[in-house]
Amino acid sequence: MMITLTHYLVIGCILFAISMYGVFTRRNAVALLLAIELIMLAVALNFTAGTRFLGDAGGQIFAIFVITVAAAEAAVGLALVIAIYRNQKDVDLDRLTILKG
Amino acid sequence: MSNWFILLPEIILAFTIMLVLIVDLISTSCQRLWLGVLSLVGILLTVICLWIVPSGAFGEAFLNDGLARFIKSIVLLALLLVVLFSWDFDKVWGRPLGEYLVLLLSSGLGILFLASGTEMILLYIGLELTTFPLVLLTAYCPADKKSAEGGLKFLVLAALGAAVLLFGFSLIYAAAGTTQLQALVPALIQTGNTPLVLMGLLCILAGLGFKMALVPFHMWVPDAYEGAPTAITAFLSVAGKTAGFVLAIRILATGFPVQVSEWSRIFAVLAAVTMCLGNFAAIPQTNMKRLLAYSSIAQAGYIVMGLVAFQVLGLSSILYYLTAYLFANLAAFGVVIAVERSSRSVELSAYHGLAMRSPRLALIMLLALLSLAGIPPLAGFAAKFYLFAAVYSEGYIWLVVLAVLNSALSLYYYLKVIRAIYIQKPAADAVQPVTVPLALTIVLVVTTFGILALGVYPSPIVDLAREVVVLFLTP
Repeated sequence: MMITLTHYLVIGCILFAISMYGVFTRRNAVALLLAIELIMLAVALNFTAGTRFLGDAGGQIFAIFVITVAAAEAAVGLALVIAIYRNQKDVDLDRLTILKG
Repeated sequence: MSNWFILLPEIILAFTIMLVLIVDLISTSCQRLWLGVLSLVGILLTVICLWIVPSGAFGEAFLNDGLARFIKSIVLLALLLVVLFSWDFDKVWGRPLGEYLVLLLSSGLGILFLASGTEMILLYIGLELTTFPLVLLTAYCPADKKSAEGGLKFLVLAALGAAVLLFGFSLIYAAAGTTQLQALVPALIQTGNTPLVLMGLLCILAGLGFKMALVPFHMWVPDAYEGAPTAITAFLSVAGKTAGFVLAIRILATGFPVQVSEWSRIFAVLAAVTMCLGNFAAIPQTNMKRLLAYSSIAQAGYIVMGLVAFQVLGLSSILYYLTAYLFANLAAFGVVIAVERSSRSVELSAYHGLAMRSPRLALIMLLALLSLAGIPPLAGFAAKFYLFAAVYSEGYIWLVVLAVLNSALSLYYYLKVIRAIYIQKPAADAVQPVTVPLALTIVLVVTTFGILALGVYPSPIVDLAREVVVLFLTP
């Protein structure tokens, strides 16, 4: 069987669906950040596959940028999670309810 | 071949950021004044440069056209006023000023790139350069539990929004094979509206919804606005919103003009839901920052109507609305900051009897809120008038009726604040007039002048906005 661009896109969409499920069911901040990282991986996969099959280098360059920014995002996110954990001993978004209304 | 000169405003701002960082490192604590002065000079130089450099493209990714210049001027003005807001930030909040200014200016730099980007990679990097510093600034006082919590919630939802937008980009890329927005148009005409393209477009619209804070993607707004230091809330509400709208205009107008009937219908529904929910949720609020947060969601609902009426009139009224909104919102936040400095509170009860204690501050708040509500002859009225006229001429009469009803509804909670200021008696322990430092006074004078001038004599800005949009739509 020939592996086509569609196969890669389907895998990308499945990864996206799994991470969306994670976003809506998990309330732990670290798990949420993980789920969002998973979307970034799906994006990187789509772009790389696009480059392979469409012959445009832009996708691979974009994938490198996505991975880099995802790392920066994880750094900012985990720094905030640690700051909150020191303060409140909890990183569950449902129990962080000083701000609401 | 490439014309570096076009990037000059961005280069100057980037150098200012590095210079502030270095000066912060080598200066002693009594030389903090220089950090603010340096930032102001850098921003002013950037503004001057912006109007000197010629229009044109740098490579295929960066375009300095009239629209970019207009948006950049709005953002730089907001940046300038917010730096003045934070003049003695280190004293009031007890946190270092140097890094604060660096983050603030970096976020501004991100918006400058967003306003000029015509290529997905640049737009994405610009977007993240805008968002991450804002997240860090929101959580800048981690000892304050609200600040850290607001920052985390902001980060999670902003990252989710950016990731969904990015997923949309990747699907569109897989369909069209290019990251260049102009090149998308012929490629997408060739492929037609396949499910892949429509799904990509839908993801992009959802991502843009997060950035423009449209319902149902607005959950981060009240928490981030309440948790952030007030000067940052002001910047988020003005520049953050401007960034969202310019991103939407760039992506949709340049990349997806063919699919206009699909996305304008979606935006019509989102606009209706956003303004209703924003206004209804604002009514019971007693915290001024939260009230203004919901008010800004409702304002986003009005502004997005300009995208529904995707013509010269619609787009130019978005630009005019953003200008009017800048002055009114920054004036309101200026008064909030002044009151917060003296009473350490952003609750509505701190405003009781403000008219007796500080009649001038009370008057500024009155003008700002009436402008936000759209009462003539203030800036907000002209802005709403042009916007509603544009939507009406496109045939969305139900949307205009709903928007007018919503404006009337919004008057209710704006008047609630005005009632607290003018009618209720001040608390027994709060009879001193509110002291306003010089930097804040400058902001209040500028913004009040803006509210009145744009309301009485709107034509220069309206003409400029129209000229810019005509050039933008007919390349």
